[in-house]
Amino acid sequence: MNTDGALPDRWVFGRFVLVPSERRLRVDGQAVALGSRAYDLLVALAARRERVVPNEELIAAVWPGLVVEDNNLQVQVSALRKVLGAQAIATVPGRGYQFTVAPSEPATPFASPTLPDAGREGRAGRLARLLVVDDNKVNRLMLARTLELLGHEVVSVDNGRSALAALRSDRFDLMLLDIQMPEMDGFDLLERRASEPAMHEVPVIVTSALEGVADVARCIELGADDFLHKPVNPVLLRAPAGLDPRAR
Amino acid sequence: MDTPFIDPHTFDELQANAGADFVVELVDTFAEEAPRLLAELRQALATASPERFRRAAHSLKSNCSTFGATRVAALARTLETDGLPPDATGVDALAAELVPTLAALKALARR
Repeated sequence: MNTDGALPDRWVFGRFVLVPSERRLRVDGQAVALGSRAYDLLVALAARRERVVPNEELIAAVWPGLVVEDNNLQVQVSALRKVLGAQAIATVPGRGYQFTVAPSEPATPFASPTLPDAGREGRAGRLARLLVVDDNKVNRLMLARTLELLGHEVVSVDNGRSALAALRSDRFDLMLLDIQMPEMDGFDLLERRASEPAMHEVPVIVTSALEGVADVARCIELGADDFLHKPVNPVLLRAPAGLDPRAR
Repeated sequence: MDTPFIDPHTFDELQANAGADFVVELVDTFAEEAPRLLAELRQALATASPERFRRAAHSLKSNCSTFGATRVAALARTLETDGLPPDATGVDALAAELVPTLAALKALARR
């Protein structure tokens, strides 16, 4: 992610502590499940807190290399406000957003902002092992085929319960998750994932034809890293940042 | 080939991205799945099951959008957003549109 300068190792903003080296936010000492895009947006805003940041600059920081509509940014802002409080991020009409929480102590010295698991194989641009979860056979085939053509290994299941079993018994680099499914839907699976730390290590991109902003926001609040509307544009899956929202 | 039921740009793009042979397989899969989804819609209507109804309509909408079958997708979207209807009029309209759409998709995939 592109910021105005090097990231500190630890930022304290009152009740909120940002730990860029772990890509984690703590509120009142508790780790908060925050999707990767929301996390990156928070870092982008915090790093530029001295000024109002235009939408296009935030989009470039959070979705580098991708063409993304403003409403995606609004969804992530909304998710952050639910965690931080509505006042933490000010909307400046026609200009952008500004982070309003002042740091409570100087940032500690810079440490490398690498992901805890960045060294493992299967990150974007290399062969990855992907879990596709979709009850719709056509969608499942379509997504699996697109990803296999990109050189990835794909395991497909048709409901959240099977996905849960797969996540517990196997290792995946990324999960592409539908929401509307019988037995256990995508929302339920995201909730279960949030409560099991090992599962939370697997980034999730929700792929759904759901149209309501509230549903998209709910996915992000439950810890999904990104949301792609169906039919998924293969161009987005080809972009490294599109396939792996945590690859920065 | 231009048909009244399919957006040729979407379909061509699908073939370019996924491969023409695979799109034949995909269309055949949809041709098998669509009657099941339609039956699911009717069953949900008969048993007054709004969630089943919405899910089946959602699946049809999603699949039709993938193939550029815009008219059926729009009908399915209306069923999904409006929810369980008082009668089968909307489902019948979708069914009537679905038959020629599937035929057009098969023809397009094998042209």
